[in-house]
Amino acid sequence: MVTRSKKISLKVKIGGLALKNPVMSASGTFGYGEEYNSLVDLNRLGAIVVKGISLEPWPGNPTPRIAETTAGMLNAIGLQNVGVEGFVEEKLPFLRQFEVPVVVNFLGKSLKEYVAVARKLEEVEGIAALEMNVSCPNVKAGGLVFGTDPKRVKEVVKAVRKEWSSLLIVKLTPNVTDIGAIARSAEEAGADAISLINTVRGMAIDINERKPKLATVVGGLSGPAIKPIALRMVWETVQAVEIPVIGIGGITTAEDALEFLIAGARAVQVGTANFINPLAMMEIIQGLERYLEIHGMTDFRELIGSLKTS
Amino acid sequence: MIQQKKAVPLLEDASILSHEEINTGYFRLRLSSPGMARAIIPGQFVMLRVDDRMDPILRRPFSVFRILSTHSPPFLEILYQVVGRGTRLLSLLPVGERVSLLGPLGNGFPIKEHKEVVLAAGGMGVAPLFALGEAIVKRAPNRTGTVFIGGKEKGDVVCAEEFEDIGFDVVITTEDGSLGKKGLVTRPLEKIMKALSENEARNTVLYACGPAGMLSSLARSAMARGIECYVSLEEKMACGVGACLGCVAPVITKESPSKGEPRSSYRCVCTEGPVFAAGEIQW
Repeated sequence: MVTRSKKISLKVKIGGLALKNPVMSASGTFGYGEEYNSLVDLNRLGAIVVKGISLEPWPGNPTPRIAETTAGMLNAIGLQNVGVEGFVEEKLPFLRQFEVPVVVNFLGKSLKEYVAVARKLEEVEGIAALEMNVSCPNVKAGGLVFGTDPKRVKEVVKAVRKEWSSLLIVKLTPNVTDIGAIARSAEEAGADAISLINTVRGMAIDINERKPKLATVVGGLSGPAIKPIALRMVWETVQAVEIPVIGIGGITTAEDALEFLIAGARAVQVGTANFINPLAMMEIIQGLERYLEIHGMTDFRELIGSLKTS
Repeated sequence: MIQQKKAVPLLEDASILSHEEINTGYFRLRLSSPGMARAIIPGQFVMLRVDDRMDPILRRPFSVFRILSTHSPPFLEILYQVVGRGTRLLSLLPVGERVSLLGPLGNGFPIKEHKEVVLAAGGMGVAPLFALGEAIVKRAPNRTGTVFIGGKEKGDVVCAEEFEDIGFDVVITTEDGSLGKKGLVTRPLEKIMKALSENEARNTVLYACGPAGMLSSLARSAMARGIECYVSLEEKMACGVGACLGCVAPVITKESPSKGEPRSSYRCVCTEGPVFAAGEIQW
C-alpha cells in the first residue's frame, strides 16, 4: 500500500459551486436520490442531478418505454415527473438531509414554462444549481426542439437567466450538426456551464411482431454505445466556449471519466451505468484517486483539458 | 397501492448451488445468497447480472421462486425460461459461478391465508405464485388451495408436481390439449368464479400471474363477482428501483389526490408493484 505524502484532491469548482469530486448522477437515472439511498452513500457524490421537472406533472409515454440495444438502451419515458410543487414538497426534503449539492434539472414545452419553473425554484432553499434541459420540443414552434436551434437556445436561456440567480447549467442535445454553435449561444445568453450530451435519437424493431420496440417509435439512446459521440461533442464544446463543460454519455468506469476530463470536461455525469452497477459512481471516484496516485498527481485539475493534440 | 414492506435493496454476489434444466428451455437456479434469502418475500424479485460485459448490458428481473432463509447456507431459487440473449447467457453458467443480485425489489403479495386461496398461473407466472403457495402453507398448514396452471403445450407446464407436494389441488390447461384440459386457463377459472355464492366469493382470494390478456380477463371477472384479486405484472425493466420510470403500468387515479402525490396515471411495476390489486389497474 502506497503511503501518500500529499492528500489527493478531487475538488473542483463549477462557476461558484464547489464540488468535493467531479462525479454526478445524470438526470433521469437516479430518481430523486431516495431510490438508490440504500445502495449509495449520497454524501460521497460530487452532486446529484435529479429527474427533470416541469411546471405541472407530466404523465409520460405509454409503454414500452425502454429497449435494450447493443451496449446501451433506448428510452422514451416521456419526461414523466411530479411537477415543481410535487418536487418541492415530496422530494426535496429528503435530499436536503444530505450534504451533497442538489442540481435540479428542469424542462418546459414553451419558453413561458421554463421561465415559470425557474421563477418558482428561485424561491426555494437547498438547490445548488439548475440544469436546463433544452432537448424538449417547443409546442409553440411546431414541436421544434429548443436545443437544435442556436437562436431558440439563446432566447430561452436568456429568459431563464433573468429568473435564476445561482448556477445555471444548460444541458445540450447531441442531435444537431454544430454543437459548438449551440454551446456558444447558451454561453452568450448567460449560462454558467454546459452539460452534454443528452440521449441520441435512435430506434429498434421487434422482427417477430414487426413493430417498433418503443411505443413512440423513436427514443433516446444512452449507455456505452454513445460514448465516442459524447466524447467528441464534449471536446468540440470545450473548444467553443470558455465556461465549464460537464461531460455525459456512456461513462461506466474511471477510465471513461478520465477520457472526458482529459478532453476538457470539469466534471462528469453517470447515467445508464447506475442501473447496471449502482456502485458505479463510487467506483469511479475511487478510480480517479487511484489514477492520480499512480501518475504522481495530487490535484486532478491538472488533468482537465490536458489532451495533447499535436 | 399495496405496501407489504418497503423494499430496501442491497447488492449481493450469489454463488450457484445448483442449475437444472427441468424442461426444454426451462431452468431452476439455486443461489446461495444469505442477505437476499433472509430479506426477500414472495412476490418480490431480484435484478440479476451475470458478469461485467457490455452486451447484453441490462440486469434481468426474476421473481423469487423459493425462499429458504433458515437453511444452511440460506438460499433462494429462481425459475426461468430462456427467451432471449440474457436468459440464454444465464443458462450456460455452471455450479460454483457467481452472479450479482440486486434486491429484494418490489412489494410482495399480501398473504390472506384465512380465505380460500386460488392461484392462477400462465406460463412463467408459476414462479412467484409457488413462493406464495409455500408461504401460505407455512402459515396455515391445514388450509387447502387450488392452483390453475396454463401453458401453450405440455412442455410449458412446469412446477405442477411441486404444487402437489405442498398440498395444492392442481388444475392444468394447455392450449393444444397435450396435457390437462384443452384451452386457456381462464376458462375453468371463469366457470368456478361464476359458480361461487356471494358468501363464497367474499371468502375467496385470487392471485394471478401470467400474460397481460389472461390477467385482464381474470381481474375483470373477479371484480365483477366481488372476489379479492391480486395480480403480479411484468414489464421490461432497466433499473428495478423506481429511478428510470421505464416499467410503468397504467393505474386508475384517485378523484382528488393528496397534495404532493404524483398525479401521473403511471406507476412503476418495480417499486409500486409488481403486485397490484386488480381494481388499481387501468385494464
